[in-house]
Amino acid sequence: MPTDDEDARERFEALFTDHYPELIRFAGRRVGRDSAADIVAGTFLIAWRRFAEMPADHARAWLYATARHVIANELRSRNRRERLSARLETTEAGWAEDASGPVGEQLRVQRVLAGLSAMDQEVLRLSEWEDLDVAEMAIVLGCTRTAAKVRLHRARRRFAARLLAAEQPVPNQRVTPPVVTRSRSQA
Amino acid sequence: MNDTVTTALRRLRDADPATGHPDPHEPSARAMLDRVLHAPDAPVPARPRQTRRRLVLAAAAVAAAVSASGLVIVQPWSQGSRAVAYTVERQGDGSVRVSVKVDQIDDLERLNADLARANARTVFFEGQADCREKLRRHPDFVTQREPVPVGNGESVLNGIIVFPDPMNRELPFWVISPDRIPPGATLVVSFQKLYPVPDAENPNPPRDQTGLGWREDVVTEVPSCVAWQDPLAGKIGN
Repeated sequence: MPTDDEDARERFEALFTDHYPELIRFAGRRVGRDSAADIVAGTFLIAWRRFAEMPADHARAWLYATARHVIANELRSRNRRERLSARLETTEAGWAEDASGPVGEQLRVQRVLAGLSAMDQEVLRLSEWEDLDVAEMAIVLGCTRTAAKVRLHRARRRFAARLLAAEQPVPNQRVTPPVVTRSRSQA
Repeated sequence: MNDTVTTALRRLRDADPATGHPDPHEPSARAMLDRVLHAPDAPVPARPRQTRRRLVLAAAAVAAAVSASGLVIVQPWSQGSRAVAYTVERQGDGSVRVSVKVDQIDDLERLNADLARANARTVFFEGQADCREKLRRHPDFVTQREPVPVGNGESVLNGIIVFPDPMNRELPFWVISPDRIPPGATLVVSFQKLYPVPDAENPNPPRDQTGLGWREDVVTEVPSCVAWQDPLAGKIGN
């Protein structure tokens, strides 16, 4: 018969196995693949220390909320401006080079997402990429379910509108400068 | 959801930058698990709770007060464990009881998550001087009255949030009645820590005399921040 310690370890190992993959992906999206493992390790360390407090019915949301907190601390500890500018430069370059293919589509959509408010981006990422439901999102964001639902609804509408607007037949100088030049001269 | 939104969301999902499917059984993952389980300062925990968190009640300092934007100050309180900086407790009648330790209320994400779990329909914010966002108050709660200090009022916001015994410094607490919050609205509780002001008699006032100014608003949209100008600043300790 397992002791309490063994029982707790077994349950924690099951929790780790269930959620390690999605947390690695979650952290990787936000801090890059290289730092994702550190974020996830920090998250599970907190989870282990506070295992007794963890709500069994919302363990997943609790882990996401904790990972989000660990990521925020990580980002604060770095030189944020340098990292952001470096990331933006990478994004700009990728957008300009690959705008016509599948990668271009991905960057185009990500660019529209990045143009939304921080809260809109967050609820869309949690919903569409992390597949959290409204109740889980409310826990992660620290708001009511109603507020999470409203935020998600509005963010989805805004995102769709922005994406549509971004694809109206307006010349995009940054993507295809030669075409833009010709159409202006013809006009 | 219309077709435009559906299509946009499908494209967003396809644009997920995450790649690969990490295997929790691969050696690096098992090594991580091993490090976590054998971290030197990680105690072996008890069984996780099966129901909503019921934190141990601690000596807390809370204030309450008054009006559609009431303000309250909590007076000196003893230092204690940071693990119990607040308590959130759903009561049998559907109300939610909250108590907060004045000088230790730092982890608002955690507090708000617990409030959400308790269906309190309430969000706490620390007031920010540089916040420019205007609160969208519910039409029934647009009027602001002058702040009233502790002891001069017992009920605020039409019974949505009350402080049953504002003079009780042994175990002060609020009671929030979520069912009285109008549909679609949220109770926003914002606060600011107020520190004793040094003067000639007491040039180095102790930190444990921290007070707290509170404001409550019923809003139709949860803000990202709450602007705060502390009309009671400087009153603590005087």
